[in-house]
This record gives sequence, structure tokens and C-alpha cells, in this order.
Amino acid sequence: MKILVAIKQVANLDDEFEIREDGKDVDPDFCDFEINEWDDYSLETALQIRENNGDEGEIVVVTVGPDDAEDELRKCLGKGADRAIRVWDDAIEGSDQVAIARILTKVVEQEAPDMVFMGVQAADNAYAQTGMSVAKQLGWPHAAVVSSLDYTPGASTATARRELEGGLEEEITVNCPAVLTIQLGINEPRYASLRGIKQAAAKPLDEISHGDLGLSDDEVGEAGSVSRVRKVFVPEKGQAELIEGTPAEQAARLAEILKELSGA
Amino acid sequence: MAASLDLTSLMEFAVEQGDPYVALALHPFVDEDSQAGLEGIIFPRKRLKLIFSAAPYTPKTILALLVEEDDEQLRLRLSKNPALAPPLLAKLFEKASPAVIKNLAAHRNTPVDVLQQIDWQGNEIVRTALCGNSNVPLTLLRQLMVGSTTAEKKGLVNNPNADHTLLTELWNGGDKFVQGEVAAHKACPPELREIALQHPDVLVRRKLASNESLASDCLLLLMKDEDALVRSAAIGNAGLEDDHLGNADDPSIRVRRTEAKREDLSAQFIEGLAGDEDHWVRRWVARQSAASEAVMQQLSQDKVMEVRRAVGRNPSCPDYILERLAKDEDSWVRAGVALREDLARHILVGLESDEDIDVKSAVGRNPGTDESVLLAIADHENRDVRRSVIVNPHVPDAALIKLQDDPYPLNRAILSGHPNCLTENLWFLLKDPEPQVRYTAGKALAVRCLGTA
Repeated sequence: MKILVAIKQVANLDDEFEIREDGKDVDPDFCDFEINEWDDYSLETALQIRENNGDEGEIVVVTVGPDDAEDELRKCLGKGADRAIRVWDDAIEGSDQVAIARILTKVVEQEAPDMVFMGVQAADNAYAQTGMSVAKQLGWPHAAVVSSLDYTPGASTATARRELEGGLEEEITVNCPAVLTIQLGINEPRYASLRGIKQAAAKPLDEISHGDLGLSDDEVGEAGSVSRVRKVFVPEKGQAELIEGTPAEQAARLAEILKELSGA
Repeated sequence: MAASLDLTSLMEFAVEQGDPYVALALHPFVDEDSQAGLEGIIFPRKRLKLIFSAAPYTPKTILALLVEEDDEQLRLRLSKNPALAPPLLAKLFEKASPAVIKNLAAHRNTPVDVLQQIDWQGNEIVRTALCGNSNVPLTLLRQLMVGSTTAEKKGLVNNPNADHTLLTELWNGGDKFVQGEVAAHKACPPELREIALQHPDVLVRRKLASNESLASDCLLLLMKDEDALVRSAAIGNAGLEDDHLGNADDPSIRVRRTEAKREDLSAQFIEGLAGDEDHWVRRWVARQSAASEAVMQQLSQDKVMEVRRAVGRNPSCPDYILERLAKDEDSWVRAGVALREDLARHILVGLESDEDIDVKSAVGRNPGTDESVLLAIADHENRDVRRSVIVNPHVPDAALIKLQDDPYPLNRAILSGHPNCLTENLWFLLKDPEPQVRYTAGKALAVRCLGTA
């Protein structure tokens, strides 16, 4: 059994931050970086499946990200993943979710896992598209927003519950292999033991480029993307006013504000 | 590394590891030459400077260096850091931008002479910040009062430096909320207290009733107020003596709850409340150390679990009742008994084999618990149960050694900052993956080094 878990290192903003000079992202000096919360749950799902399978099978974590992202992969290895892959080179900079999915698709094709788990979305960009885009490019069955999973390694199908609007849940069966995006709360992610963290330093972590995956320069970065960030900015804040006074005074002020806003 | 206690070994470790958080912890404790070496570890990354400028735990020695930097991003963070001392805030003021001045106007440590120099005329944000700063002296408060908005008045009225004259002006120009705060102010003029006593608005009377400097005769009048909130505030007033309480027969649950919370209740008054229909009242009464044995006996059989637990937490509860509560059907009640440090050994022994996690945690904290039981709890599968052992004053060293490797970061963080932590633990925790743990361990080791020097 092999499960591939795709993770992302996400930016957590300070209360006060500044936008980068090119206006397309936040200055990293004002960010803390950490593993995407959803991905913690994806990894835990994989670890629990392996534990219930008599600890048989391999869990491979993969990320598309720069040098710093290695910290998150090491944390996953510390929790029990067996192997890690980091894909990065300068040409990948500027990739949107579709280009990232293209890279991950190539990794999946190389690794040939029985299942692919990803987080529902990334906490920083919140596109919630990468998982489904990978499934589409692979032509694999998929299920999004999985809140419960019944999967036995080697089985030809898995049963998943999905969260829908209005508190509804949907139970579906998907053929395997499949791509599942995992929702928060599906389990209780573990913490890496200190021993695990030390052992993680000795576990294999492959660093590969887009070329190693057989992708051309046109298929990654801005050239391989279908969308580009034009600018990132803090929208102008709205105004709030506490209306005080007697009910009559409050009503008069309210009417005044309505007139101002309607241009009357 | 051996569990040595000398700053030289600690410095060598910090330099060898190059860890900014350990370096930060040691900085205030070493000589100038060593400090310079540590600064080479702490300062290279802008990101860390930003973090340390804003962090309340940053040592004063480092804050003093950061204040000298000509960097607006750092200065903005420093001006909001609650730990920044008055001289450093004064230093920031020397080259302050408008945004920094706004923060200085609101900072609780900004020296009075700086507050008096801040130019607030025509700057609504700075003016509002000053109005809400409790350090602002009376002379400046008077200037700010002129032409103040209602929102600014609400800031001014909470200032402890406000005097009779200013409070009278605020009363005359304020709405009912401002008037309520005037009534609650310790310097509220007697004539305004008289007006507040008869005020048609409940809010004003309620705020007056909460004023701890109020005379007993006023409080007695407010205790008879038609509004339950006002009576409750008067009864909760720390200035009210217990012989003024009267009977425990107020029709309002809110009032009786406030009565039950008072710490000076007589046995007779407690008896009056013990049969109350409201379980919150009974719950507070059950904690009263002056409660008679009969009251505790009665409440220990209460149908509401929280009431029974409260009896078990009562320091005057006799052993025979505790013995029964230790076998209560509800684990929360048993846990309450297990928390008692004065618990008879034979009762505690019975609880040591209880498998409920709340009881386990309580047994883990209890200094009377057997050492072998503590060692077993330090291995418990539940992370919160394991943590209980760390704070036990009789925790065996072997349990602390186990817990230094706990996978739950909070447990290691608590261990690193607890007096029980062994020197051996602290050296181990200097290599912890969590920066907070490494910092706390480094600081604790440095303090111990100085203590043994």
C-alpha cells in the first residue's frame, strides 16, 4: 500500500504586515510559515489507515515549494511518513494552482500510489482547486471535503462522507485509486514525538526539479498558469458609527446617514 | 551534556547551537562581551527583529537595542509592546512618526512628561488615545475635556486621576453611560452620589452600587432598590459588611446568587440559602467554609452534580462526607475530591485506581499520590492527564525525565517554566523543536546559574 499526501507550507500573517515591492504578495518578513492546517488532517488520515493495516505500507509526502518548505516535510516525517519529495526550482516560482496541480500530477504518475490525500484548501490562498485539478489531470475518481473515510488498503473502493451545505452530509463510494481532499476535524492530528523528529533527519527527502518530472518550462511558473496575481492589497475599510442619544435623535442621525449614502 | 549550572557552559551551548531563542534568553544575564556574541545570533534576520520588537517576553536589554534602530517597522511594533519600559518609550518619542505617537498616547507605560508633550490638537485619534490612557495627569485631562465628544468623555471618566471638578463637568455634559461611570468613580463628589442614588435610570444606580468607596448608609438604601440588578450590585460590593446582609429571602435569583458568592457569610445566612431552588446558589453555598456539617451533609446529596462537587471542594468538609463523594456516580464530583491536598490517605488510595481522565488528572496533581501511581500517570495516553504530574510538588524525577520527551508541545512548555523542572530537564529542553520551550528553558537555566554563583 502506498498513500501520497500532498502538503503546502502556508504563510501566517502578522497583525501588521507590508506588501512586497512588486505588489503581488505579502513581504515574507511579516509572515510565519507553517504547514497548512488541512494537510495535518490529511497526513493523520494516512497514518491511521497504515496503523489499522498492521503498520504495513508506505506514506510519501510531497510539496511544491522553496527551501524553507523542507521544514514542513521534516515535521511530517517526524510524525511517521516514510519518505518526502520537494519539487522546486526558479522556473516554478509564480505557478498558479493549475500549474502546481500539473507538477503534483507528474509526481503521482511517478509514485503510482493507491490513494492521494490533499487538504480541502490552503489557509493562505484558499483556492480549494489543487486537489480536484490533480484528479482531473490524472483522470482519477475524486471526492472533495471528506469528513469521514472508510478505506482498507488493497480494496477497489473507498467510502467517504462529504460535508455539504446546510449541515447535510453525503456518503459516496469512489473507485480506487482516487484523489480525496480532506476536511478539518476528520481526526485528531498527532504531534511528532521528539524521537520521531530526530529520526526524521535521517529519512529520505528527495529534491527534484520540474525537469526531473518531464515538464517543460512552459508548463510551470507563470507560463504554465491559467491565472496570474495582478495585485494584493488591503481594501479600504468601511466606516462605523455608534449612534447615541434619545430614540428620536438616533432616528434623525440614521436618516441623515441614509441620505448621505444615497446622495440625497 | 551534563546537568551543570554555570553560565560559561550555557554560553558555549548557545554559541554552538546558534539558536536565537536561547541567545535571547541568556542576553540579560551575561557580561557585555558575551552579549555582543549573542547579538550576532539574535539580530541577523529582519523577521526575528520584528518578532522580538512586538513580543512582551523580549528582555529589556534587547528592547533597548531595538529602540536605537532607525527602522519604522520596528518602532511601530516597539511602541505597542506592553513590556516596553517608560525610558524606552521616551526614547521612541524623540524620533516618533505620527503612527508611533498614536501608540505612545495609548501606551500604559508612557511617562507623564511624554504624554504632556504629545501634540493632540487637531488629531482625533491621538486625542482619543490620550482620553483613554489612565496615566494622563489631571492638568491634561482638563485640557482634553474642552470640546470632548461623548466617546472621549467615556475614556476620561475612567481615568483614576479625574477629580471632583472634572467628574462634575463630565456628569453635566455626559449621557447616562458617562453618568454611570461618574457614579462608580472612587472620587465621585458626594452631591453627585446623592443625585445618582435617586437617578431614574437603573444603570446609574447600579454603577453607584458597585462603588467600593460608598458609605454603608447609601449601600443599605441601594440594597432596598426596586431593581434586582441594583440590589445585586450593592450586595456584591466589597465595602458592605456581612451584618448588613439581612435575610436570605430576596425574590431575585440574581441577588441570591451574589449573596451566596460572598466570602463572609454567617452560618445562619448560609443555612437560609442552602435550600434555595436555584442550583447556582446552592453551588456557591456548598463552597462556604463556614457552612455547618448539616448543610454540607444536605448538599452532598444534592441532585445537581456541581453542588455535590462544590461540597467536595469545601475546605471544611469532613472526611466521612468526602469518603462518600469519592464514590459518587459522577466522575466530576470524584475529581473534585481527588484535587484536595488534605485528603485522607485511605480516600486517595481508592481514587488512585479510578480510570476516569478527570479523576486521573486530579490524582496526578495531588501531592499525596503514591510515586508509582504518578509514574504511571506520566505515561498515560491522554496528554492532558500526563500534564497533571508536572505540577505535582512531589513529582518523582523519573516522571519528569519521561515528560521532557512528551510529544505534546504544551506539556513541554509547562515543564520548562515550572519550578519542579530539573536542571537535567532544562538542558534537554534547550534543544526542543518549539522556540518558546527553548527560550523558557534557557532563561530558567540562567536564573539558576546566577542563584548558585
